[in-house]
Amino acid sequence: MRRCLLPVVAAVLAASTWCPAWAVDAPRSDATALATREAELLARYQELERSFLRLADVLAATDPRRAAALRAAFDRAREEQLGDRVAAIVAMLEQGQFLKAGTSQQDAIGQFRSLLDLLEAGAGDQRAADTAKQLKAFMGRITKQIAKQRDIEGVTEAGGAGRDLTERQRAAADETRTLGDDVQRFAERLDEDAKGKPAADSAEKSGSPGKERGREAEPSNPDGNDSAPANAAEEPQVEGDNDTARSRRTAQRLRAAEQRMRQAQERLENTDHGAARGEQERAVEELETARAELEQILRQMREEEVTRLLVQLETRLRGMLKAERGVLADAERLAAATEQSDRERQLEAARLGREQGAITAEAAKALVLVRDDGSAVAIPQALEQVHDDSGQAATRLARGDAGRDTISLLGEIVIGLEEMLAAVERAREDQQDAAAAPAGGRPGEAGEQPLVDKLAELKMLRSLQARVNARTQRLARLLDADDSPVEGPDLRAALTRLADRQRQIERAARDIVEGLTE
Amino acid sequence: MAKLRAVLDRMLELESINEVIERLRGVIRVQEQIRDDTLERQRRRGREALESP
Repeated sequence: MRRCLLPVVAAVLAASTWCPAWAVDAPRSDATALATREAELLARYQELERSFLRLADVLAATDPRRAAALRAAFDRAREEQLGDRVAAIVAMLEQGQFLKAGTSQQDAIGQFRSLLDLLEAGAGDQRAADTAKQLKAFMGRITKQIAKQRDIEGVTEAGGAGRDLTERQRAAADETRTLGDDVQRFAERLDEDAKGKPAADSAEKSGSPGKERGREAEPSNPDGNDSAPANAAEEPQVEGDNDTARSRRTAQRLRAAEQRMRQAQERLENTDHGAARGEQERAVEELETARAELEQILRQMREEEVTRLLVQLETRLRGMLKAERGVLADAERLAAATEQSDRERQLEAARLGREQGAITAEAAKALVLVRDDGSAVAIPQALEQVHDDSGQAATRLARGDAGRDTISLLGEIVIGLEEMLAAVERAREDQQDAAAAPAGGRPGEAGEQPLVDKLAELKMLRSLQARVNARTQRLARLLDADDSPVEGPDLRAALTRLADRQRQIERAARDIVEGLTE
Repeated sequence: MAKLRAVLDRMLELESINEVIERLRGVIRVQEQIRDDTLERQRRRGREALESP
């Protein structure tokens, strides 16, 4: 019996791993059906991959952030050869290799999911940008209401009266109500967005009614002189420091301001100017509190955005630096090697050229990140120079030139990347220190936090200028040398590039100075 | 009118990227179903091999 079972167990094991011929023939129809379904999926995926690029082109002008996310998704899909992998699964299924196909399908699912994460992150960035835009619009409307209310208060103080003044007060109350309703809807949308996220994230972000603990409202005016407390001020105050809680509190403060205005209107109708002015003052206080809440949301959002951006930039710069050091070391080895044939040297230089080309592409992506943010001046400039130098180095290596000038160019790229990485690391440390500091210790206007501070920008600019100086001297030596290895047109092109670079540094310096004197 | 058109364009763009994300989710769902069926087929083949004379 035992002897009889052994071949069967062996056959089962074999069927589970490398599919013998008998197993291929038997479930032919199943294999064909699965292969057909996988082939349909492949077609669907290939069409989707083409959509990434099509949509990226459409969005390039209006929505560079999303366009970049789509391009990144397309690049990732191509790098990982997702389409080819799914095509290989179709072939495995056709041959009845179910176990192997199952494993590859699991891998493909993982890769599809990482693509989805990439796209959703891009969409999330855009949602944050839209939210910031809306918040700024609300702040503008509140500021206008404050100005209107102060104007009405001034007329009241000056003894103005009559139907016109009460009408203006009523209109201001109506507008404040509309504004409060808009902010309330905005808070509800934020709440919906937070609920749509994974549970852990949602719990942290949501300022949903569940978090509205029933704390009694504090009087909005510090002297507590609330002769006629408005209903909105009696609402239990929403607690919490997240965006939703703050937006809900803003809506509450706007409702309180509206009710103060209605009270003021009544007092004006009764020609009780003193009481009307008291209500008007409190209405302004409520509006100012509402605006401060929105400013705080913007500040928090900007902090989160800067952190995210610095992490992305640091990761990218670190990867580029590692790759660049590798290219430099290999190029130096190649220049020193004497035993290799010309053909071997050519091939090795071409390989280094391809690696350098990949670094150029990474620099372009990093440049999109910082340009999109728009708050830094010298960092984009430095990245642009690394990108240009890297492109030049790739071209030289591709044509087999791993000589002294190419190696010196690679060395400059390494230095540029090291300096940028150091600046980004410092900015990250500063941000962590600021986050750890007690609340209120951070100065600055809402939404205005730059990616890196101005001092770091100036240091970066000084390094860029030092590199232009060094390059100028090198070119001057080449011009003076009788046996210069550089040809006339090449030298002219290098001088033109250097002049452009000097102009860009001058422009960046001016932007920093104007930013400092604003 | 121009503002309305800009809003409409923006909505269309939003729809487009959300649609791409939804299509990718669909691809993942279908791949998961095919994987489950593939592995089920593999298990069945193992059982058939055990039961075969």
